[in-house]
Amino acid sequence: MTHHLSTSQLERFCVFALAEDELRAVAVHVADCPSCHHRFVEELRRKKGSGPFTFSLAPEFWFRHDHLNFDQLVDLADEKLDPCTREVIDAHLRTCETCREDVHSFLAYRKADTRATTADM
Amino acid sequence: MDNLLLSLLNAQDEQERQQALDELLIIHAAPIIRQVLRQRLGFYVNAQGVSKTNHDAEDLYQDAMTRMIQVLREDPTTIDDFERYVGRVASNVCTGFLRSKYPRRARLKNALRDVFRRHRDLASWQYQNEILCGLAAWRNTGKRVVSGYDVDTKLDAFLSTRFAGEDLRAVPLSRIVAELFEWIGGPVELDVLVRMLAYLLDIKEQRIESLEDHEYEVNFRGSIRSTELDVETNELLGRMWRVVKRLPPKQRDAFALRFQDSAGRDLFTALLAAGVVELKDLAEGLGRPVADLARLWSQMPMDSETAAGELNTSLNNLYKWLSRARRRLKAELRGKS
Repeated sequence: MTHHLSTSQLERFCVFALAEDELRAVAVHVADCPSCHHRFVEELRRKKGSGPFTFSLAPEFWFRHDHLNFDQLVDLADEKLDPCTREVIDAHLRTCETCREDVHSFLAYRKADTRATTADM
Repeated sequence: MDNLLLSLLNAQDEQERQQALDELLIIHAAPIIRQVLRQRLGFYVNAQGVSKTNHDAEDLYQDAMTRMIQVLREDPTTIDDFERYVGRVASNVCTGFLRSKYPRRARLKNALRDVFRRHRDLASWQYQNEILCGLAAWRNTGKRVVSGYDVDTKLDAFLSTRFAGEDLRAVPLSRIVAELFEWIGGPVELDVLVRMLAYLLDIKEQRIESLEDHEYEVNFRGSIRSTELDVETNELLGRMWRVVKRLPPKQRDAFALRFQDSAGRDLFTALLAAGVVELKDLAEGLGRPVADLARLWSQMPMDSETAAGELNTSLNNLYKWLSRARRRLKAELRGKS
């Protein structure tokens, strides 16, 4: 790709609306061509905003979408979670009421069932 | 009327109309739909609307796109602000999805799966494309699967026969299930069992709030809100990048793929738009060719499962790398502020 990129190509590149081969070729060109890179950044700012960015390192933010799956519920109930996963799950539970209720319900069912099984023995 | 729609409305023929429609959907609508799915439901799809780990996410993306195609074909003049309209359509799709969920039944299903794991006399097993459950002795015997239709109308009789005078909610789940299987006489699909037990235990679902209760704003090109936990300034973004580059490769990659700023923008977008790096700096910093970077970027920010898949590792390992990366960044950024 020796010619400069069109505005349409840059627009589409910013939202990845190009076929895989073209996406790769455009990326390589943008990386190597100062003029196209400059136009690409302008387009990116137009599309995604150019104000100061804010970010958080808090685990509650990072893992707010990491809802518990069945295996994690079982490991939680069996106290078999490794420390890092436990930390992630605890952070998630601080922000997610649905998962808190899932855990509460699962532990309650497990407790009632365990009590009954022990009584039967 | 929104200027974004002018090329569609002024199209002279079908080819021009299709071109304008493609542009509106791919360049303007798709990123908003992706962002709304991410922010409202934590559902991640790539730029093509694909998710390797979440078919619901793909379906919802397609649903939102289909609705947009419909309105753009039929009557685009009704749209005053295109991007806001897309945000609302995507949000409505999310609300519809939430309304279709049955969280109490889902919890009951988790409890049942646990019962089958822990009780030797009871079991669940895969049969063709279904999950069946029943007495362990029936597993893989070819015993006829009992249909829900055969049983649904007889559940009151089951109650009065097997649990007369008892409060079923005080009976352990494993006992109810064992009695039900003996009464039915054959295996059932797991979802059918859930439905039967929801009836027997009188499990009612709560109504999900409607969209009309809260106006959902797409914070796409607009201002960025900060909170007490957030860290601002491009200078800090630059410092963050320098620390990220120095992380062990697995921690570095895990952090980069999962990062999103408070407005939902991925790491590459944040760094490039802020002018902190150029594309080749990113490639060098991550030890990847530029072409591979583009492939990753189109999927970012990733959810944990997708990131773990991309890095060919388990979720537990990903969490470990992310924990270490975040701790290191916190320590280094605090030390220099």
